[in-house]
Amino acid sequence: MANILIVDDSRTSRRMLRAILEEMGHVVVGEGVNGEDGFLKFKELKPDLVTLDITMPKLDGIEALQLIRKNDPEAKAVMITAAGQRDKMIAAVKYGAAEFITKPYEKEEVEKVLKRIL
Amino acid sequence: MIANIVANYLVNKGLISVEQYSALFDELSKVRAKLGLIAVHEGLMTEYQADTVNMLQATMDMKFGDLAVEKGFLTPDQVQEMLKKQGDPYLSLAQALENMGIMKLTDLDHLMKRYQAENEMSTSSIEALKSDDIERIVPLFMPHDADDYKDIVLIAAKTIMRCVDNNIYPLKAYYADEVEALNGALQFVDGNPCLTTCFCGDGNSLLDIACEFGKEDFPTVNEDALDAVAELINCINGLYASAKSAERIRMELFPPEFDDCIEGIKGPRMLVMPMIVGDKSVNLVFLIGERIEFI
Repeated sequence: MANILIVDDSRTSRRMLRAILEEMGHVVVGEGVNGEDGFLKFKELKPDLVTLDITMPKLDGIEALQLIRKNDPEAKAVMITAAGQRDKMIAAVKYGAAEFITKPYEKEEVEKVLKRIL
Repeated sequence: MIANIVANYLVNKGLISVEQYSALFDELSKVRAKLGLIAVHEGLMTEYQADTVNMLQATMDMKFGDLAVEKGFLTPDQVQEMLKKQGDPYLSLAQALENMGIMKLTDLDHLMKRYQAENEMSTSSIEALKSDDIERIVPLFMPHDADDYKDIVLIAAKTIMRCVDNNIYPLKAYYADEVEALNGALQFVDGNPCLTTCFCGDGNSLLDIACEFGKEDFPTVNEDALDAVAELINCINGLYASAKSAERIRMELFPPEFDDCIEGIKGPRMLVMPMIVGDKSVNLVFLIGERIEFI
């Protein structure tokens, strides 16, 4: 089971994802409320995996991903997207995102994605 | 959707009580239109003939269709066609109203004609309404010059039905530069053209959406509840951006915003579609080409 950091500006979204991850037996070690906060929490908590919402204030998910991978080139990141974010997804792959999960969350999809990368 | 629209009309006209309104939906969940009702609706049998077959059924162990064929009222092919229509939403509604002793099919047909006249609707519009097809119904409630908004309004309605409540229905949409509201959530989507989607309401009108989508019992429409509403808007706009990408239109979603203490929203010629969700009226507001702002 993995230590996971959730980064999303939406409290609802963080709570929903946390519930799924904890039900799967993972430990949510922290939550970031925007890209900047997420990067700082990543450095502090050193999780096995970070989930990054793409659309966030201050630093968005792609910008946070760049900082995180610069800090730790081995960092595993799953991008959280609404549908229709194709360009952002391409950019995320370029900067080292391992996988994507689309909102609204479906437990089966989250499980499949995490199995592939953990 | 047709059941909600007609039931709401019946309440407004004083033809059923609020208690009967609720009971109607319980009945609808159990009901399947009987062949006799369908045959009368299709003009294949008179009410008298259908009643005759019904009475014969009380003394003979035969199906309605078989008896009607034996009596020469219907052909076997007609019975097969009617069987396919048993799940018809309008006929199911008619059956539920008849089962509850509220009105017969002919009364419902008359009522629909009255509704058609009062709302200046065409016969094809009424047929669209009876189809219960959201893609045909929602445009009926939109202004004639709102074609550009059809995609986003339909995606919003379908997403609410899928993620919040299957029993929503729209009221007549209109344009406005300002809308009064006490709280709301919105999201700007950049693109060519750009779009803003906003859900706003008075008091607790957004509460059902927040609780259902957020899967949490919010006591009131506070910031956490609005965050859930904002997430729903984010999903709706994402689906819209996805649909537009097929037309090679690139759209970028901005972080949603919400405010639980506003006087309203403003934007030049916004499309306002009031939607009944649960027992509350919520304003779904869209603006293509400009931003909507909280006041």
